[in-house]
Amino acid sequence: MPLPPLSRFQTDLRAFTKKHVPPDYKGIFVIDADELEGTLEFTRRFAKLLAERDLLVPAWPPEYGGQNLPYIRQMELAEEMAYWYEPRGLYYMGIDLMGPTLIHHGTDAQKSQHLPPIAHAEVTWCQGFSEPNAGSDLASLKTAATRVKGGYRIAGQKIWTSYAHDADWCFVIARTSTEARKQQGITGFITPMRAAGISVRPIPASFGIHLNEVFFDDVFVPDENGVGEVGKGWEMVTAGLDIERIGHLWYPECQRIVDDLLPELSRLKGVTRQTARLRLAEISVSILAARYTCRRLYEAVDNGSLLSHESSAAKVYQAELYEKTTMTARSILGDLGFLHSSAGRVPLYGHTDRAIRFCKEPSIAGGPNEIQRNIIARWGLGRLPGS
Amino acid sequence: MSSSELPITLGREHLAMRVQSLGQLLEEAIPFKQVHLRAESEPLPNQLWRKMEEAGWLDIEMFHPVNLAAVSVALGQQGLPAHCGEHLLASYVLGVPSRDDRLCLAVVPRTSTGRLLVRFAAWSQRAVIIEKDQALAFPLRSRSPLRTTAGEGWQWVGVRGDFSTSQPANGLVTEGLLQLSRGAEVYGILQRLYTLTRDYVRQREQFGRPIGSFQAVQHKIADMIIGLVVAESLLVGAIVDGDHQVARAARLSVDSAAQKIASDAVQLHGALGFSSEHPVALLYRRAQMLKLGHEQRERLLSFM
Repeated sequence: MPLPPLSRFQTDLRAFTKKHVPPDYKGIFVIDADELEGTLEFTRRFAKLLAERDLLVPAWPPEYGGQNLPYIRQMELAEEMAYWYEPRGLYYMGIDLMGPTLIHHGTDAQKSQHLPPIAHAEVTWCQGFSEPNAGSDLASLKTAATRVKGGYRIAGQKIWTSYAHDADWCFVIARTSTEARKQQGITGFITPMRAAGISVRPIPASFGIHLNEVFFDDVFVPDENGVGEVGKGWEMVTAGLDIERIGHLWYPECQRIVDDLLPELSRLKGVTRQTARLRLAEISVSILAARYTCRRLYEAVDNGSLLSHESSAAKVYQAELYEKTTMTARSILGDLGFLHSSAGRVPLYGHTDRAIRFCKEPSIAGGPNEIQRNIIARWGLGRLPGS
Repeated sequence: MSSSELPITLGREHLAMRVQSLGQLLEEAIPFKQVHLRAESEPLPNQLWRKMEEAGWLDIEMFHPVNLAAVSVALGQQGLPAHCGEHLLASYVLGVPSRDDRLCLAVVPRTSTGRLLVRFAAWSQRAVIIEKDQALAFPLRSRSPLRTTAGEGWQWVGVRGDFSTSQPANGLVTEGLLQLSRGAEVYGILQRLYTLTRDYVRQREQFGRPIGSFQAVQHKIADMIIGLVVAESLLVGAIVDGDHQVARAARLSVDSAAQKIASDAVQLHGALGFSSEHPVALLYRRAQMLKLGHEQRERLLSFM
C-alpha cells in the first residue's frame, strides 16, 4: 500500500499517475543505451500531461505556470513521482533545482523567460557544479568566467553532470574572482547547451546513461544570463542545495519496493519468511520517519525557516534507508533479483538489479554523506579551533 | 506559569515550550547535577510528583497527548523516571483517580492473550491495592536506578481484558499513548545525552585542541543529531495526527536511535562516561533500561 495520501490533491494525483504510468516503468536513474529513446519519449509525454493540468509546479506563482499552492503540495507531487520511479524524467531537474533558484534569485526577465517553459515541460536543465578537482570541496572550483564586453567568457570543465547529454539549458557556476576566500568570487550563469564552445562527453556508468563531462571552451554568456549577484554564487548554491537535498524523495521508492516485495514473501518458508517480514517492518518504520521529517522540512520551506543541518539530516537518513531497502530486496529475492525484465514475470518487474546498480548514488550526489555530516556537526559544535 | 493555562495547541514549538516550562519546575525540585548522585541511594521524594500535580501536569482533566509527551520528555531530560506519564495512563485505563499516588507503572498490552499487564510500584510503603477482581499482584525487585519505592520494589499486576484499543483520547488509543509516552521519555534522555556530549567534546582538549575538532568525533555528533531530528518528527507527527501507528513508529524509531546515541555518548566521554560521578553513566543505564526487548520490538513491528 502506498503511503496514505495527505490531501485531496494527492489523492487525485495518485489516481492520475496510476492511470498513466505503466507498472513496469522503471525510471530514468538507471537507463541502458537501448532503452534511452523509448524512456525519454514516455517521460516527455507524461510530463506534458501533468503540465496541461498545471500539476508540474503547483507551488509556483500562477504567472509562471503554478497554482500558488503551499509548498507541501510540491512534496506530495514528489512522493507520487518517486513512488512510480520518477515518470517526469529529466524534467524534475528544472522543477526541483533550477526553478526555486530562479524564483529566489532570478531577474524578472529571467523568470519570465525560463519559468513558464519549465512549468510546461518544454525544456530540460542540467547543473554544472562538480569539477575534476572540486567535488566534495565544491568551493575550490576553477572554471573561470572572464569579463568581456557585454558579458563573460566561460572556460573550464565540469564533470558528473547528470543528463547533460539531453538537456536544453545548463546552470553553471564559475569563478569570477580569485582575490578573496574561495567561497567568494563564485557566480552563477545560465547558458543554452547548444551554445558555441560547449561539448559533452558521456561517462559510461554502472547505472547506464546518466553522467557526463561538460567542456566549456570560451563560451560567451551575456550579462543578462548572470544569476544573482556577481561573486555571491556560493550562498545561492548552498541555499539551493538545502532544497535540492529534499527535492527528490527516496523513501517513496523504498515504499514501492516494500509493496512489491510483500507478494514475494509467499515463496519463503517459516522462520525465513518471518525474518523477512520483520526486516520489511523495520524499513516501514524508517519510511514513516523519513516522511514525517520531510513533511516538517517542506513546511519549513513554506515559512522560510528551512535549516541546512535538518535538510542534510534528511538527505543522509534517506540515502542510507534507500541502500538498506535495496540490499533487503536483494537478500529476500536472492538470485531472482537479477533477472532481466524480458524474462517474463520477474519480481519487482526487474527493478531490483537497477536499484542495486544505483543505490550508492544518493549518498554521493548533492554532496556526499560525509560532507552532510560535517554540515550537521558544524551546526551542533560551532567552529572549533583546529577543525 | 501553570501548564493548565496553556491552550492545547499542537506542533513542535508547542511541545518544546511545554518541555521547557516543566523542565524549570523539575530543575527547581531536583537540580540535574544532583540527580545522578542520589541514584543509588535515595528514593525519589513524593513532593516532586505533588509539585507536578499542583502545577497541573498530572491532572487527568487536561490530559492530552502533547502534555503526556512533554511530561515524558522533560522527566527523561532530567534523568528521572517518567512513570507519571504512565501513571496518568493507567489511571485512565483503570479508572483510578490520578491523585492516588500509590500508582506508578508501565502498561504493556498483550494482544496475543487479550490481557493488559500493568507494572507499578507503590510510592509509599503501603502495598498496592487495585480494586479489580481480576487483578493479580506480586512483588519484584528491580535494579532500576532511582527506584521509586523505599523498600518493596516493583509490583506487577495483570488485569484481564484488552485495553489496547479502549478509550480513544484525542485520537490516540491507549496503547498509542503508551508508546508515545515511552518514546518521548527515551527521546528526552537522548537529548540530554546529546547536549552533555556536545558540550564535553567542545571543551575537552587532547593533542592540543578540542576533541570535537576531529572529524571522527564530529561524525558521531552528526549521527546523534540525525537520530534526534528524525525521532522528533515522528513524536510530533503522532501528536499532531493523533495516529497510534505513528506513535508506535515513533517508539521504534527512538529505540533504534537510542542504542547508538547512548553508546556514543559514553564513548566520547571516555572513562568519565561510566564514572558514577558523571550523569552520563546514569542516563546510559536509564536508556538501556527502557530499550525494547526482542519480544516487545517484534510485537510492535508486527503492526507495521
